[in-house]
Amino acid sequence: MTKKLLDSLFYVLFLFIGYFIWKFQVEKSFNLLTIYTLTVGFSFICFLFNIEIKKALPILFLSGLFMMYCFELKDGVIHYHYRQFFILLAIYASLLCTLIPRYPLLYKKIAAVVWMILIAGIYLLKGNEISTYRYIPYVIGSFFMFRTVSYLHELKFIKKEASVLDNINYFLLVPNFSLPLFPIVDYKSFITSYEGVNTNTLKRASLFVCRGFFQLILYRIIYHDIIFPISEIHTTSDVFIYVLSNFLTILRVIGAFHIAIGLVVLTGYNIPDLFNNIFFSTGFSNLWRRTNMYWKNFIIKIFYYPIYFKIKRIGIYSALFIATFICFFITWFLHTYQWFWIKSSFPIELKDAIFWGSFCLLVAINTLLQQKDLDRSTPKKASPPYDFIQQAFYGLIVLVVMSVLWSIWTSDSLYNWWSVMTLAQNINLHAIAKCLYIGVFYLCIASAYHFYQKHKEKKLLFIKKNMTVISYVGFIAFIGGIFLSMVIARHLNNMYFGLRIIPIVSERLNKADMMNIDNGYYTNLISTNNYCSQVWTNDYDINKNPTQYINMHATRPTYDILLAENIPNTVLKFKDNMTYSINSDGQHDKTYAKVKPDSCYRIVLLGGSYECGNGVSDGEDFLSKVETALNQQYVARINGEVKHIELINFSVNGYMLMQRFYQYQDKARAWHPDAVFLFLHTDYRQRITNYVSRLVYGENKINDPYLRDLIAKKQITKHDDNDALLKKLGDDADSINTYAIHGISAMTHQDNTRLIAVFLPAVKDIVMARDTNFNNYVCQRFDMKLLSLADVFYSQKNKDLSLSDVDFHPNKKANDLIAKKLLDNIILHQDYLNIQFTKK
Amino acid sequence: MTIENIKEEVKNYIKETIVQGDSVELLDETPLISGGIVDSISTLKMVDFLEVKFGIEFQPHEVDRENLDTIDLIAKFVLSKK
Repeated sequence: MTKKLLDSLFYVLFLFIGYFIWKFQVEKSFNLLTIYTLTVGFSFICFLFNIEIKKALPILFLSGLFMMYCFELKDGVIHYHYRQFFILLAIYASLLCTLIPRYPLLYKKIAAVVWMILIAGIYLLKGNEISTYRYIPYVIGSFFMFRTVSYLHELKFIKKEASVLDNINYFLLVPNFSLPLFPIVDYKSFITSYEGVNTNTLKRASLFVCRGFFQLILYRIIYHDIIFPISEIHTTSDVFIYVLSNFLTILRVIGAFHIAIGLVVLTGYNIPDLFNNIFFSTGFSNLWRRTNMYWKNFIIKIFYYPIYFKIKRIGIYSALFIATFICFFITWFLHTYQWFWIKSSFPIELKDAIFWGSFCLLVAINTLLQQKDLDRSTPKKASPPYDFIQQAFYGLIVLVVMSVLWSIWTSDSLYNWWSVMTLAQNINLHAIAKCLYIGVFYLCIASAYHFYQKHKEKKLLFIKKNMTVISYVGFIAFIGGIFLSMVIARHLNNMYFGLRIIPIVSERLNKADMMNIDNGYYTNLISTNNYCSQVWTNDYDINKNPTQYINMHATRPTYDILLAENIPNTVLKFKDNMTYSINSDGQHDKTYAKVKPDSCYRIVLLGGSYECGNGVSDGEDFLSKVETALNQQYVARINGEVKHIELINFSVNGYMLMQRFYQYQDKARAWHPDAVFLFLHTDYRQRITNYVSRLVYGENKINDPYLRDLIAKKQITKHDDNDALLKKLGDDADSINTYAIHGISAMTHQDNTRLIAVFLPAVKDIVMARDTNFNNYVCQRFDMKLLSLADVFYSQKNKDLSLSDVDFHPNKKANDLIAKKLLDNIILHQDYLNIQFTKK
Repeated sequence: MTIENIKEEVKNYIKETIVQGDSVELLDETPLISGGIVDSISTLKMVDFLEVKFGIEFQPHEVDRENLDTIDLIAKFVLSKK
């Protein structure tokens, strides 16, 4: 009884960790809290009532399936999607039927291949509608992509076949729901590891979860406080810190994997450890042995040994070398295969080859040298007393080399990577001191680690014996430290609290990624095939990011200065009956007569994605609402004559000022507007840089002489990334924007059309610095009237206004706020339009 | 050849070529692979030694903790192959 009571304390710890996961929004985008709560709750019930958890696990799976894909809480109302639940259930059941029963192995293999082809087929069928079922292959793929391989491989040799229940539990690992990138659990290890819920499994599970949580928070600190945008790299030390910190983001995967394994152990299957302090490796082969041991064992068992045995006649060292090389090639391929199942992309790039090829060579050479060294030295010399410092030093070399390789692997392109590396030439004393400081800091920690490893059996036995307690105390101190920082920061300095603490305790993007998203950098999922990026998010629910979908399906390339235009007569359907339509004239609006009726006052709108109303249904965007309100609630008169107000939306997703200029010149001007609303935001320098980059990179026809000459003068090439471009353009970035507004202003002046600037702030993180100097400058210079909506989101929470965590466009609530603010401004400044509005 | 002979041969091999003077206590039940004493490359070299010494032939799937994790398991496995 006492033992049971003591064991139940573990669940108190799990409860606390659950609270922290909720409070800190850990892996919120993957709904980790749901799966964590379910698993812990389920394990506790089994523990309390002495239920054999193994037999009850399919119920946990069904609950997970229900909670993740059937149950949805939205605006305080519960929605059910039974169809999705049953479709997924049917697919899982069919897959298990083909794999589990005692059919001949060949049948199972054929069945597995047929299933994979079928699911891959669903993958590749992309309709013009965002289907709520689109995520199904992702879910199935992440569950079966590797475990099927391990299962079919083991069946050939297994002496005693496992029970059907063990097989089912192997395939239906519940944490996989919220962690699609899941460790490759070995079939044989899994089925032989069952212990049930006992002190040992509870202890191990809690340690795994604590460690995972700690690593994920550490990742956030690195992601927000250490990683900085490439444009801020100037010296050797900046390059050094940039490269190291990028490698450290691997903590995200390590942390998530530890939580996943912890939850599996909590269900009674006491599977082995996964990572072994990878930052303290003493060589490249040592690093390979410490990193994701499940992956390493999978590769060794399925590929390495069979290859080695086939070729070992050529000599042991040659066979080892060749087998290692082939296996790294397979590892590269399997990483890509993994992305196919999780994100339906199949990225094969030169930088992957460089990363895996170099890593392979280093491991192979390191292994051979070690083996030859072993062969030579008999007997081995006693290790020197200070060898832990030597090991730490080797660790530093491994860390630096791996960081450099990692930076290649995760870079956008080799050209960009090289342009960052060349900045390391800017060396000065301060930079050298900074690098040395980091190096010495690492050496101290690593030496302590190796010292402990060396002496833990004798001198440090006390620490070894009490390591579990030390770990718990350390974890509590860590969490306590964060809470304390929150309290102190909140009391001392609110701004500091906002900038430093909030990003750590909540899931949000850092400055570099925010800038990239703002610029549409991730629109085509270019760089999100990166395990560690916070931007990397599952596309189960593409509805979370409608802008990306609209860009892909509602616009088409023009191969000129506009880059893209709306596709006329397009209708996109999202879930919840939401539609996004383009009319026959290519406007995201209802249809208007091109010839302006006499009784009409026509305003054309030039904007980008905000003004397109991404993520809200047709008619619910702020511009449609303002138009409706102006006509329904007010009577508009010019010189006593009643006018009907038309607001025609010429905005196109992703349009910057230069494109708006040409949109007006080539299209909107012909609609003879009485006024033009030119929407202005912030960060135009960054936006125009992104625009020029896309223009040059896509080899589009630059039919504007000013821009063409400027690009030639600044020697801008398609190899320049945004940051390099920003440096090359300098103040000319603002000049391009000024030029564009000047162009619009000249045309409107010539046509006697009123040009009114509308300043609309972005629904953005408080971390982003904003400045509106440019807007004020251009309004003064071109004598534009300004309708400022600067305080439209005042006292609102940003997260309540964005479409999602990955799409910062205004949601319905934000659109309503903007509509009201804009309407009030138009009425207040009706003289700008030369209209008299009277309330009906 | 008895199981004890095999154990002795294996123990000597591990001491001479893998452990090499490290203060590791080698008992019949000492975990070799799961205890980190023998890594994957050393395992393959040990397999090579066992094949030559005892005239047996390993299959790739037999290079496994189930057969090679302790001196005791190795000896039993070798005996079963002979």
